[in-house]
Amino acid sequence: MHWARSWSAWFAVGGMCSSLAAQGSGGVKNESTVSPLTNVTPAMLLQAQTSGDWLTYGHNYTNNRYSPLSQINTTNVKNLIPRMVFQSGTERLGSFETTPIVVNGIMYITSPAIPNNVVVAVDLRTQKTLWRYEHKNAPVSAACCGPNNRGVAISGGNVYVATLDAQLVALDQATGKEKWTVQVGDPTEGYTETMAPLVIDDKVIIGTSGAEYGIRGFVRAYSTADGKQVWNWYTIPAPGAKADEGGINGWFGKWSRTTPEGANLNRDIAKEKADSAKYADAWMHGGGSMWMTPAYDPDTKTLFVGIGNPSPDLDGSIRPGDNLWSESIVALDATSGTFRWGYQTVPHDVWDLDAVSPPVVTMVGGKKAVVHAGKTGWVYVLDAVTGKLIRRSEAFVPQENMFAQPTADGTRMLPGANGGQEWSPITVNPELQYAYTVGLHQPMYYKTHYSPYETGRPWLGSAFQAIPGEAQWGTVTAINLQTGKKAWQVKTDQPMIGGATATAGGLVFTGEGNGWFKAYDAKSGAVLWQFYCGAGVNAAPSVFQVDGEQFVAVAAGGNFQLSYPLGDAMFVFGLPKAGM
Amino acid sequence: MTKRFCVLVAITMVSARAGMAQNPPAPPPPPAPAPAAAPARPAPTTQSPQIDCNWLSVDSASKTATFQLTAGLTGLNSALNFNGFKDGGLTVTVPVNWNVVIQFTNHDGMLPHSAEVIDTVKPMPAGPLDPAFPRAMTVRLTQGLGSGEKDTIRFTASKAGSYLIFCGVPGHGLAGMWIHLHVSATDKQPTLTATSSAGR
Repeated sequence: MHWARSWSAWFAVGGMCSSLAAQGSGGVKNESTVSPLTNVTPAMLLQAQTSGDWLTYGHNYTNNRYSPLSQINTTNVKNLIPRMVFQSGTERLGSFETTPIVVNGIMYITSPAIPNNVVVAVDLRTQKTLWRYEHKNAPVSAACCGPNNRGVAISGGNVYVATLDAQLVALDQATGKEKWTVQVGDPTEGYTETMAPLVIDDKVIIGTSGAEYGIRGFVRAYSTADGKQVWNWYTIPAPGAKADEGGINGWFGKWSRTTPEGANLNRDIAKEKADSAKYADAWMHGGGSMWMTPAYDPDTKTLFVGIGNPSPDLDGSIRPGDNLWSESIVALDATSGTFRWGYQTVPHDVWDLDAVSPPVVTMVGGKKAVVHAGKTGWVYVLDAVTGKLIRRSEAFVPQENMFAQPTADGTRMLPGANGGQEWSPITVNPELQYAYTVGLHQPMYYKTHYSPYETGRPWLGSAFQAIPGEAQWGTVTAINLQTGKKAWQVKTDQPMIGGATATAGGLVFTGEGNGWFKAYDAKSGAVLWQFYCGAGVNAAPSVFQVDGEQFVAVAAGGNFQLSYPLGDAMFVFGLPKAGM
Repeated sequence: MTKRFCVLVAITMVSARAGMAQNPPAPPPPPAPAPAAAPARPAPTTQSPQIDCNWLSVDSASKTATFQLTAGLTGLNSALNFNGFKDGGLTVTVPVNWNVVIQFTNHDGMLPHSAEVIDTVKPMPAGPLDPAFPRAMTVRLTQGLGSGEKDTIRFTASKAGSYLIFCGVPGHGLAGMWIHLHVSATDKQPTLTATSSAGR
C-alpha cells in the first residue's frame, strides 16, 4: 500500500540530520524509545493553554493557537532547520490542510480526503508509524472547494475524525481501530465534513459543510462514549423557533438595512417582505455551515461558533430576510446547545462572506472577548458575555464597492468571495493582545444567475469570476485588539490561505502558496526566518515539545482551490543539536 | 481554409440529432407561482445557454476541428459548466478520423477545472478515467487548472462513437460538468448542437 510505505518514509533534509531521536533530542538516550501512549483527559484539555503539547485544532479551548513554548525565539529562530520530513505518497493529491495534534511525542495527522480519509499516528521518537486508519468514502460529488480535512480531536483514549462522506468516527487512540461511527448528514444532499471536531468533557462537537449545496446547517454534540446525539442546534431557525433556538421571526430576523456597524447593505427590504410568503420554505435549504472548529469558554460553558454563508450564496432574491444565523458568530450553551447570543456580520449576505475563520476567546483591555477575522476584511472584537461589538478593526485587505449587489453582468467588489480571511485560523498573542490575520486580495465579479435548488447539486445562485489582468496578492497583518489599528502589515506575493500560529518566543509562523514557510517577529513583522518547502504551505502550524525540545510542524501540500502546488510533505522544524 | 460551423438546434436525444431542427427549449417555469401581490421585478427564471458559432472552427483541408472549451463560462450550475452548458446540454460532433484540437480555458474565478474525453459511462464517475483517445485530456486532470489558465488538447478521433467531455476534478463531472462529443461515421463536417440534458 502506497500510504503505508510512504508515511513511514522519514528522511533527512540536506544531509543535516536524520531524525528527532538520532539528534538525541532532550533526554532521549535510546533511539528506539517508544513514546508512551498518553490518555488526554478533560483536565488536560482545560489546561491546554499551558501545555507543551498541541492538544486541539486551535491548541486549546480559546482557539488562540498560541504556544507557551519559547525555546525557539526571535534570537535563535534564524537557525531553524527541518529536523524531519515525511511524505504521504497519497495517490491523489489535494489540499493538505491538517494541523498535527501532538500528544507526548505522538503526532496524529489527517490526509486530503480523496479518495479516502486517512488518519496516521506517528511516533516522533522512533519515527515509526504506529497505525494508519483509512476510511473508504462513499462517492461524494458535493465537495465544491476541495476534498480536504483539517485534523482530529483526541480525548479519553479516542481519536475523532470527521469524513468527507459526513461521518464522525471514533478511533482507538492506541490502535486506530474503529470504536463507533455515526452518520452526521447525508452526503447525497450535500452534507460533508472537513473540520476538526472539538471534545468538551463527554461530548464531541461538530458542524457540517455544504452551504454551497443547499443544506441546512447545524452544530451538534455527540456522546464520546457511543456516538449518540446529545444535542442539536440548527444554524438556520425554522419558522416559530423560540428565542433559545435563535429564532427572531424565524430566520427573517429584523430586516436589517445595514451591517451591525452601520454599513449600507443596499437591500430592497420592501421587495423582500413582499416575497417572504412566496419563499416561505427557503430556510429548509438555507445553508449556514459551521465548518471550522469552535472556541469554548469553560468558565461559562459557552461555545462560540462561526457560521458560513446562506444558500444559495449569491442569489438573495429567493431567500428574503436576514437569513439568520448565516455569517454570524453565535454563542451556545455547550451543555445543552441552547442559543445565547448571535452577532450577524452580514445580514442577507449575497457575497459569500462567511464568518468561518475560527473564533478566539481572549482578554482585551481586561474584558473577555471573542475575536473573529471575517471574509469581510475586518476583525470583530465582541463582548463574550453579551455579544455586543467592542470594536471593529481597520481593514486588513483592500475594500472597494462594499456590499454592492451582484448583477447578471457582474459587480466588482472587494474583498472577493474568498475574503478577507478565509477559513484560515488567526492566532492571538495574549501578551501583546495582537491578532494575526492572513488575508487575500482577489478582485472578483459577483454575478447572479438564477438556478433552482436541486438535491446534492452545487447551488451558488451564480458564480464568482476573477477579473482578468488584476493582480492578486495577500497580507499578513497584526491587529492591535485594544485599538483595532494595524500594528504592522506585510504584503505577500499570493493570496494567503492556511492560518498562523504564535508562540511565547515572540514569533508568528505562517506559510504561503509559493512554498515559503516563514517566521515573523510578533512585534515588528520582520521576517526572521524562512524555508522553501516546495509545495504550498497552506495549513496552520502546530508547536510542541518532545522531551524538552521545541518543534514546529506544518503541512506543505498546497491548496486545491487556489491552485497552489500540491504535495504531501509534513515538515518538522527544530534547532540544530550540538555537533550538527 | 478555416471556417466556422455550428448548428443551432435543440434535440431531445443525441442519437436522434441528425436532421432534427427545432427551436431551443422554452425556459422552465419559475420555481413557484407568483403571489397575488406580485413584485415589480419579474420572477426569476433559468437562463437558456446560447451557442456561439465562434467556438468551433473547421479546416477541411487538414480535417481539423478546433473547439474553444471554456470551463465556468457562465454562472449556470454554480459555474460547473462547459461553455455555459451542463449535463450533456451541448454536443460537439466531428467526423471520424478528424483531428480534434480543444483549446481549454478556465473562466471560473473560484475553482480549478480540467477536461478529458472519456467513454460514455453510467453511472457518471466521481473522478477522472483513462481518456478514450490517447492524450485527450488537459494537464493536471485531477487537480485542475486555476482561474484563467489554459491548455490545449490534441488528438485524432479515430473511433466512431459517443463520448463525454468531462471535468476530471473529483466531483465536478458528477455534478453535471460534462458535454457530449459525438464521433460520427456519417457526418462530413463538425457541428455544435444544443441538446437536452438527458436524465436531469
